[in-house]
Amino acid sequence: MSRIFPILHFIRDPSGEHPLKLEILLESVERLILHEETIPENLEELRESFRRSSYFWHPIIVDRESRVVLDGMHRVASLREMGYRYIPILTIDAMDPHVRLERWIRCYALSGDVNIPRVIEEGGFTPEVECRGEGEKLIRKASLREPPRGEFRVIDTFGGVMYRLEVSSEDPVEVYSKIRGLELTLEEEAGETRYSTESSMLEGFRMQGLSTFVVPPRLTKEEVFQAAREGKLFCPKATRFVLPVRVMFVNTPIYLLEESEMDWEERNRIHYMVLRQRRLFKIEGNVDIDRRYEEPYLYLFE
Amino acid sequence: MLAEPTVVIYGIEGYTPAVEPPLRRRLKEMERREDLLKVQWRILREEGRLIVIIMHLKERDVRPLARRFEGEINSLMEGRGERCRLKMMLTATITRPIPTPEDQYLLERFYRIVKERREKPLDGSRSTPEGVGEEGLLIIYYLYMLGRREEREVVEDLYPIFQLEPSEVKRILEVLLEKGLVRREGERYRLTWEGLSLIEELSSELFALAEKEVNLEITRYLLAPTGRIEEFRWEDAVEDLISSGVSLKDAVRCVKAALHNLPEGGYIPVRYLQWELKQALDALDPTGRLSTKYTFFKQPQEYLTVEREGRRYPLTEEVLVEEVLKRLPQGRYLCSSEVLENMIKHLSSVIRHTHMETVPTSFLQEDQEIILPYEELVETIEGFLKRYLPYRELTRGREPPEAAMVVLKDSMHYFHRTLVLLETDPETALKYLLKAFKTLTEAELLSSGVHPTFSMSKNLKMLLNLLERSGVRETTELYSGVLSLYRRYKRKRTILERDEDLIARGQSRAKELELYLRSKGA
Repeated sequence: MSRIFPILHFIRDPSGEHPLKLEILLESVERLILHEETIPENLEELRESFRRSSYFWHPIIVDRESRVVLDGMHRVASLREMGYRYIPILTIDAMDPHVRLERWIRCYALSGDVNIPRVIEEGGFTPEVECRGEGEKLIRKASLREPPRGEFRVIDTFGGVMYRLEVSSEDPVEVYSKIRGLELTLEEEAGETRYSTESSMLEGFRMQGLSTFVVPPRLTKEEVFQAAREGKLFCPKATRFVLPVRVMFVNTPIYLLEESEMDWEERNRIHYMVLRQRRLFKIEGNVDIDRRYEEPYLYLFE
Repeated sequence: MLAEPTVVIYGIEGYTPAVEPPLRRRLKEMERREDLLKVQWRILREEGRLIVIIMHLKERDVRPLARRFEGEINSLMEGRGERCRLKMMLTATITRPIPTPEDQYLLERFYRIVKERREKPLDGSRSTPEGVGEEGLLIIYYLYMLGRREEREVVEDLYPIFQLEPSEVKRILEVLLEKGLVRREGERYRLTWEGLSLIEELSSELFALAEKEVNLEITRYLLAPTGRIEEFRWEDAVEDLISSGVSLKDAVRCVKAALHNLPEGGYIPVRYLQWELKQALDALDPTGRLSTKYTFFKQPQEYLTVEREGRRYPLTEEVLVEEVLKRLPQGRYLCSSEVLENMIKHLSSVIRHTHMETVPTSFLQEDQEIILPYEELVETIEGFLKRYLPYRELTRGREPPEAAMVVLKDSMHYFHRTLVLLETDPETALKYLLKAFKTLTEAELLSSGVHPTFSMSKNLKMLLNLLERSGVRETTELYSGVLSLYRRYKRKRTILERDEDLIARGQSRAKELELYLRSKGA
């Protein structure tokens, strides 16, 4: 009997119907490769949640070939720390063109009297004015045109300025690490960093009083996988993999993840039989559940 | 197949664990009050921040229900001074009906049996047209079960079970078209008469209930859809089938056939077993009556719907608890949770058995209801309680000593009859003796404010429990002796030796109790 729960999801694109293979299974936490650092407070929160729960709700998302974790870094790290052996994963071919790699915009609600160029300098960068204009126009412009390699942008909507910042490194991990330094400096002024998608930047500016945005450079999938293979970790919130589909509510019993005499095959056989007894719904995505799920389709287990 | 349903997801932001118990209670209440017959809800705590409730309903029911649902839950939160609010986060219509887990299992089973047949062909079995392999037959069976389907749907539905690649499905469909077994209607494929007759003949041959030799003694485990594991007892499966109207011989045959057909390995998915037993019953009785009864027997709450003043709600355990509690004497007498639980279990079983005879003879649909008028339910509960709690009427409005005295008089009379008949008719004397102790035990319980049940052994155990705490050694010994006598009687239906001492001690205890009750004003 099969031990892996497969799903074949069709994506309609200009070239026709494109099949995307997904697999749900339990995988050893040690086999998974993280590519981002974790945030200790988030780990503690997750640990607390796992201690209370008898089920693991949503599978983490992993590249099928390399076992690099695309989504669920904190969940893997928490389970490792708590001594669990396995975790439910959803595998996908990350190199599929329908799997997009996006970035997280760092957003801050600063008061008008904060001197942004000075904060940028404190963060270790030299600000160069790229252009001036109204906040909304600057936000749109930043999304439309990418800066040259080795540069990224900071938008100060109070001052009406978009700054260009140069990073003297070719290594994307190091670039992001320096941006993390700036992030922490800005956090001292604003109290917290909020992370938003590019499409939500305008909404944050209009509705949530966000005034300053750090727009990091885009990464490529190859850069992320190369770094992961070399054992390097990006700073938290460096990557945002957007998938064409997501699977939720697998509700894996925690006992299948714990250290025990049960081997991988037996655990997966049980897991598979548990899933096969439940109805699977496919619904249209782009919805808010506990957060926004941008995936066009969601599969939910009953 | 269900009608195309809608999934609704609710979220409660900023909830605290304290909200959960009242929320669960309210949801259960609503479940029966608001016709939420086919709503499946659950509360998930995710990362300590959120409760998600998934409801699975028919589309037409969503809007009005959602309004009532949100209103009720939010007023509950406000009433408790909680800051969290329920918000509908997602309403999505399922993109298309997909095969249910049962459909998927049957497809898998069909494919397994077809492949086995290739290895061990049956004598005189129908040969399949040339070029139509097992996968071809599988697609024919799929179209037979699920009706017209687009090529993409065939691929999407079959891939999770068989990993048939899209190109392979395309090739097989072309072969089936060429052989005249399927035809195209626009984008969809459907079976031709030829295809239909092939599959009907083949499936009746493949699924015939053959005698299977299965070792029933191997340890197997039942695996629930929640992941819970418990040891499988084949006797339980046989018992369920017997309760559904199957003879012992056929029940054992069905269980063996089911175990033979189940995928190998020590785990038996609970639902797979039920589906297999249904298939075996259908092979035994092609009218479907037996499998219908079995389906009902396994999940009566899925079908039984109470109708009261134009409203309908499912007959859940909570409904029974509420109806029973309404009819119990309040205040003066104790009815422990264990007794209540046991009572509900018996009552459910009574209702289930009563309705086994009226289950429709056609196949039960998932959304089919068996209507149970409220008046009929009340009559059943009342009748049951009279048997289960024999002195319910007696204790209504009476103080415990007074009620106990009435029963004690009966007991004393039975002791007297025992002594009169002891020499001449020992068999009848024994029956009177047991009656005497049964009523004496009941009088003891009533005098302590505990409601006796219909079960003598349960009453004796409750009484011994009370006596152990009060530390009256002689009385404890007396009732331990009675329990042992009762057990002997139940086992052998006869008394092994005369125990005149026990009779004398019983009579003496009855007199003591009489004096005590008088001192309490009875």
